Amino acid sequence: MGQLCIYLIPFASDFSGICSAFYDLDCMSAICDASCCTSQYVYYDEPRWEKKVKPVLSCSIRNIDAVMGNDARIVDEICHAAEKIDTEIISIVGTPVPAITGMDIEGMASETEAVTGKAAFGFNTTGFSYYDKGLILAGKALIDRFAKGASAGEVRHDDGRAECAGAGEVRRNEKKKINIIGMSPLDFGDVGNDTDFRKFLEDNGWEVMCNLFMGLTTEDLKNCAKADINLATSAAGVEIADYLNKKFAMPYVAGIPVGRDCGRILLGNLNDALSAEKKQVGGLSSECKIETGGLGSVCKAQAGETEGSIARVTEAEESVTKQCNADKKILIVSDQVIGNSLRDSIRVGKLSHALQIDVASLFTFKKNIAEGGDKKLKSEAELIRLLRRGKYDIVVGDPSIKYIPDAADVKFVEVPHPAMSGVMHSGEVKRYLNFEICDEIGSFI
Amino acid sequence: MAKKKRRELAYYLPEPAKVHTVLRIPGSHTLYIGPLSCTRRHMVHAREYGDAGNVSSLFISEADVISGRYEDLVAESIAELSELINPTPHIFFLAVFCIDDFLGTDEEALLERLRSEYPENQFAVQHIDPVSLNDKMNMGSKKNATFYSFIKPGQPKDKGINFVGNFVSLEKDNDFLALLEKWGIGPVRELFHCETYEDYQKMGKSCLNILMRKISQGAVDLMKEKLGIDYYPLMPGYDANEVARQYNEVGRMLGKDEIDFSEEIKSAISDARQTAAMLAGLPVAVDCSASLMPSYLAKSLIEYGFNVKYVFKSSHEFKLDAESENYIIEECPDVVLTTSDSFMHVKGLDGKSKDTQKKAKKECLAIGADCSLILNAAYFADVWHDEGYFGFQGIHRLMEVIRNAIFSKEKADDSDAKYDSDGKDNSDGKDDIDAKGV
Repeated sequence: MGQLCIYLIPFASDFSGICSAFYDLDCMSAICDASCCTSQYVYYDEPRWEKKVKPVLSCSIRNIDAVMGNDARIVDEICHAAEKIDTEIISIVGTPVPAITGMDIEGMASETEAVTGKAAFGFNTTGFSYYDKGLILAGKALIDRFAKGASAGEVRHDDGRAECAGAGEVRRNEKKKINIIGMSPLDFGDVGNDTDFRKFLEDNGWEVMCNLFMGLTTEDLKNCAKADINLATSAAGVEIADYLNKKFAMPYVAGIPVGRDCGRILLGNLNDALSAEKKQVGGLSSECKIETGGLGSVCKAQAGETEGSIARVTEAEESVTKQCNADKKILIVSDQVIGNSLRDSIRVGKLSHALQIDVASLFTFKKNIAEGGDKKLKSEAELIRLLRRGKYDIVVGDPSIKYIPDAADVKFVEVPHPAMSGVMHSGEVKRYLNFEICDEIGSFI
Repeated sequence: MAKKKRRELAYYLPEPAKVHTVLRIPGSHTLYIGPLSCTRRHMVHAREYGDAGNVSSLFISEADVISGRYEDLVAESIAELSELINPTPHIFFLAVFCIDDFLGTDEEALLERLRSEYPENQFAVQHIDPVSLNDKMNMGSKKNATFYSFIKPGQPKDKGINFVGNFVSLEKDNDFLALLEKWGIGPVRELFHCETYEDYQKMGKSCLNILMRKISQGAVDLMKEKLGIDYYPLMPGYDANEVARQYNEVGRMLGKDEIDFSEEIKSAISDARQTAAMLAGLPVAVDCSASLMPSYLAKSLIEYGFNVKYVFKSSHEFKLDAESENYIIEECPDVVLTTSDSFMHVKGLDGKSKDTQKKAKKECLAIGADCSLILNAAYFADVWHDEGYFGFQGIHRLMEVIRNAIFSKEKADDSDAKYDSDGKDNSDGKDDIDAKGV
């Protein structure tokens, strides 16, 4: 259904998600458009563009190309460019015009690969879907292409030794290995969140094998299946982590460290996940999938709604019961995993008021990490209705939400989301590890 | 059969941070209709430049496109906007994108429907469809023309003059403004200075349009046909003799006597030649971000004695300065004429960690951000779309900015400076310019 957007900016689209995912790789991205979609991505969506220019090419489609199905011209030019620019990888993405005219982008990528000998990825993106769909497609494609996994139950060492044991139990004197999954500047900006998270994990005994998608290399991708566990940092990351779980039986935890206290709890979750009793040696299965995002989703786990999931019992139980008697209502509008983690951080802060905290997402929404009051929003109109009916005291979200008249009377904590407001606020994205959201919430109540 | 020349992919360069002027008829509202990927940048742009209250977007799904239902969605959106926006806009612009070229939308039927449902409002469709570039009337011109299409004939005509196509006003002390004042012509009317809908309608009373950019050709043609206002194309240029000739042409159209500009011409040429002499043969590059007619700029500089080595023209086939381009091709074979978005310039610009191709600073003056980046030029004159450079004043100003680029203490790497602050040449005479290409 069409959506009228009066206050919010339309969100980053699927091809921007793909291009963002491939950006740090040695990759030439070709966007099948007339020119506007490329300018949209480089000038409005990609925070890294100014600092680190990468080969992003527009196929400059014209009416005659689309009408006559002149795919061969585009493939020829991409191959010619690939010869000159000489990157390891080529990605080709679709936009609305190729989608309407039925251009076979995947087929074009196959041809390009056949001619150039380089790994070429084609995505039939349309420009009608959101960026998270693009991130998921990119993640799965890169994993399929490059990730070399141990077979189920087998751990492969670098010297080729195979060992059958549960992850985390094998290498007593070695660091535990982890992947950071689903991290894109469209969610986290280019302000240092990737390096913060990596350093945080490394300082606490983890070896980061791969960050999908910031600072990514093909070598990292090849080694990503050697990790013991995945940390899904966004809802798109959860989808990709699910995929890794199915493919390589890798467990995951969904969450990000928002503030140091929350970070410590997240570390605890990760360690717990690795030492979970239900984890099987050999034949690792979906029972190893950890679905707790942190404190907030504990209730579901305890109720046994999620099979095999691990509950981390902390003050969360007490926090949850306070919801029934909440005297302050907070709405977090964000990527779901980031929103869950912001909620966790608020709860850990032990504010004096009883708080009801709901997370609403306009993007990928996973029920298994949602709480009762959480919502998947399909449009600006639904967000407006939620603000109107929910009678929230505080809203946490992208600054563009403040333009909604119903948000005028609430206290607002700005947490910029580049996929929503683009480069306008991408420089102000929070560095989550040091973001004590409780201080800002506390000042309002 | 002759082999068709391969058309090149367009490589995008970072855009320098510039403040953009929003063209907006006071009391109008734009509804962007299309996939979210198309509408997004316009909404971001509007938010950045203070126009957020005058735009909204209707982003349509694939299902809407296939079912053809999106035309009904437009009508529903107008209904909703009419209720929400207070006061109701005089004019609704319906901006559609590339895919509309393939959908067969019956534009006239849609407009007729809206006009009958909302008789107090006016409606127009704007096409933002770069997929149609290369047609006779390009997207920018078509869109620009709609901004002037609602001006009604104004009576009585006054001595006002419209500047059409520019996005910034001339400097207050510009010679052309002084000339107009001398002729008793005024006020100067520009769309982006209209504060009310009534101000906008006053443009219909002006006696002449000055076409300052080719993008508004459609607009001036429309105003000539509909309002009877003639026009003269007076675009930024750096040939002093040509500036004088054009000023007198404008005067002739206004019924004024010819003026002797020989002092102004002499002063401008002298300034330019002295500046060229100070550069002592330093290679110069110009591009289409600096001037919308880079070949014309290059030709003027060559005639003043500058050692122009590179011209980066636009890959869009507008051919605004075709004559100058032919001159360069025929008379200046050593000048490299290329496009700034060619992927050939990408080598060495990416952020590969294994990159060893990062270019050394090229000892040249780049007039324009694009060629400065591509060549990694040692000297950079920040000129953007000729804005602020008009008439004789424009020539003097260009020379000043060139001198500042060479001798400014803010130049990044003083140790590599070929010129010291007194203009002395410190180089060892080596010329690392590859005349065949970058």
